[in-house]
Amino acid sequence: MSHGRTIGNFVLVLLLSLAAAVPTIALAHGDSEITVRPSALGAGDDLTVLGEGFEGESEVTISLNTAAGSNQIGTVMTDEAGTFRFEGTVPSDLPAGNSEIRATSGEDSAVARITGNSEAPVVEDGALAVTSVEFSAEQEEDGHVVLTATLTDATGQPVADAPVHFAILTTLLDVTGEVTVAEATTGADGVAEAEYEPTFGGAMEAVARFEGVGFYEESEATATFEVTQFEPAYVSESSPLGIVRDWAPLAVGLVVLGIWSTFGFVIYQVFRVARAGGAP
Amino acid sequence: MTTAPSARLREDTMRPLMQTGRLYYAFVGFLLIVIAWGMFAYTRQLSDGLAVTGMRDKVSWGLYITNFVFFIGISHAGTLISAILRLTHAEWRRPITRMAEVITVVALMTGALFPIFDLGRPDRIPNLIEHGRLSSPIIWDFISISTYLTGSIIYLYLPMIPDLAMCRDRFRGSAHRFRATLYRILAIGWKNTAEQRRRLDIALAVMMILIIPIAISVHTVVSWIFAMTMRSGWNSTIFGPYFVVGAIFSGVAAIITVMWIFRKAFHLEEYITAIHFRYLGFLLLALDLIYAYFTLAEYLTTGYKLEGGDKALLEELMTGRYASFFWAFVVGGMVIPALLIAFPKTRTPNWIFFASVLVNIGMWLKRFVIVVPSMALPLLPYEWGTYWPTWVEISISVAALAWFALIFTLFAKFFPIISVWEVEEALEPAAEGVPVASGGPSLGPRPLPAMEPGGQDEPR
Repeated sequence: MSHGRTIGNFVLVLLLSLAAAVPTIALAHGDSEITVRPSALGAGDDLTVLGEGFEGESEVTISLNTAAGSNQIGTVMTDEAGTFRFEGTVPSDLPAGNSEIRATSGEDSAVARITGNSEAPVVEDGALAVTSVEFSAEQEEDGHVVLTATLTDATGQPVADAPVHFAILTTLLDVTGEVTVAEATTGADGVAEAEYEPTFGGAMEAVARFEGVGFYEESEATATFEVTQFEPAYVSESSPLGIVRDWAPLAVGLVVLGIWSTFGFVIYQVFRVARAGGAP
Repeated sequence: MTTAPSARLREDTMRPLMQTGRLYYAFVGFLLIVIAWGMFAYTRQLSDGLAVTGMRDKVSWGLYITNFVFFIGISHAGTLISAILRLTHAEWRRPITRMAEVITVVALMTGALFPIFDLGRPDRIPNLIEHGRLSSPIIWDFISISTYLTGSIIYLYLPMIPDLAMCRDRFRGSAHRFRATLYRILAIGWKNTAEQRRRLDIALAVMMILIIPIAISVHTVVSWIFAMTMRSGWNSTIFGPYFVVGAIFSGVAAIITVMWIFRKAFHLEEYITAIHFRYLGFLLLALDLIYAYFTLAEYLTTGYKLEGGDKALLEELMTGRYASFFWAFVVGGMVIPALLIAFPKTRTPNWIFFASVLVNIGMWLKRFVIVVPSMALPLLPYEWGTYWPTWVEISISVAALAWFALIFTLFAKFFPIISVWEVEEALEPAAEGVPVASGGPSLGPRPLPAMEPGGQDEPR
């Protein structure tokens, strides 16, 4: 009986130990950190990424995340202590504004902010989630409408390489919906510009929408503009029967008019019958 | 001057105008009760909406549109048949033209009501004119039916003028002051002068030619309401002539039916003879065969190709839920009437009347299987729509039939149901170069030998 209790206590202690070990490992994953030097970088610059808190002797993938998406720039192995040092080169297409360097190894992941503008501050994680769009639309003399959207992050820095969708709001049977008319990608200045050839006229409302990429959340803005000249989306080709179609209502109308006129003529004859009989 | 047969003719045709029996009042009262019940049903429909009918989102046309097509169809009876027979100088036409013309007007007045019943919201009728589009067959229908009704009323009225003068003379100074005034106004001072006959001749000649294309256009346009729609069973190029032939077919049957009833009710056997039934019977048989040919052409060409929707529709018509209607139309409305008229033994007024009643029932069923199954057929391969008329629809339809009978009955009480002056033309041959008849214009070849009393011989 005593021997059995000893075994039971041992199992209990083992289970409790295993249960305590799980959050410890998770905590270790959550403790992974990286540091990027320097924090202000330009395209083609050398960069160093220092990491710690990763699983020992594991492969870490280093990627550059911008508004345009994720771009792997290299891999590195951690040592037994879970630290690593990566040296590489900033891709030539690093956009202006804030980006992030992400180190990923299995379930371990760490992020560091960098900026492509040496004069702009590097902001903390989370602050960049908020973006804003300035949107304007105006019809040019040749008829096309220029749609201009400027995308900036929370610090006012332009968000480059970000895809922006332009849509006009249309109403059909009291239901308003969006019709996408153009797409464009923001440049280094955060400006996305597109042209729209209107197919109908009048006052219009358009929306410019950035759907969010990576750490950037979506944002949108609307603008109204007046379309005074436009080209219909399609023009019906005139068919050989076009002239029939055009004149048919008139022809039918004349036939109907002729019939009713004949009725009038007949009524006139009845009237003459009455007169011939001397009736009032 | 009137001869003895002519005087007897006048007496026989004027008798219903002068004498009214209890049976007549009872019949009119019965019709009024039926109409009142129909009006009650209509008030239910107005207050509760079309939900009180069997029509729903899938089958949105039912009894009303079936009746509309049916009544517009039988309206061809009259004016068209009358005009064609007048134009072709068919002498046997004389006693039946008036009835045929009345059928047209009354059937149009009845048929035109059904689209209003079908609307559910009659207060929106002005939208048809206010917001109507010329590309809509409904607008074409509105124009053609209103034109046809106007033309038919004129065409009914013109040959009535000499007879109205006869009524005027008969009721002059009588106690029937309303009638005397009515006839005096409508007779427009007819004195049978040469100038009056000439004018009336012109007016009648113009109308009898004009009314034929109008009548054909009406039922063609009615058919286009269906044929301009991309629905199985309706998407047909021959619907125009198919409907016109069907309309004349059912119209002739309607003439025979009405003719038989008035012949019995007013004892007109001397004027509406067996030969009139026989000739109209032959016409009915010819139209029966033509309509059978069109039916075969329509269903064979559709059935041979068996396009998805058409295949499903044909299966339902031939062997499915509408098979009883379809085969009742084929057998009862075409085959049996054709056999009854084809065999000399059954080519009698009674059997021809029976055949014409079968044709009318069959043609109503035909309109039903044109309208309802095509609407019940799902446009996407899901479940079929269902339709069965409710008491409201049945009540309104029966009331409309009573309305048809009531107008006819009242007409026969106020006006001669036989064109007296036209029959007199046949009874009283004129001297060479002298306008014939005691009171009418000089239409048609003349003189004609008198028909033999008893009505079994052909007019010569």
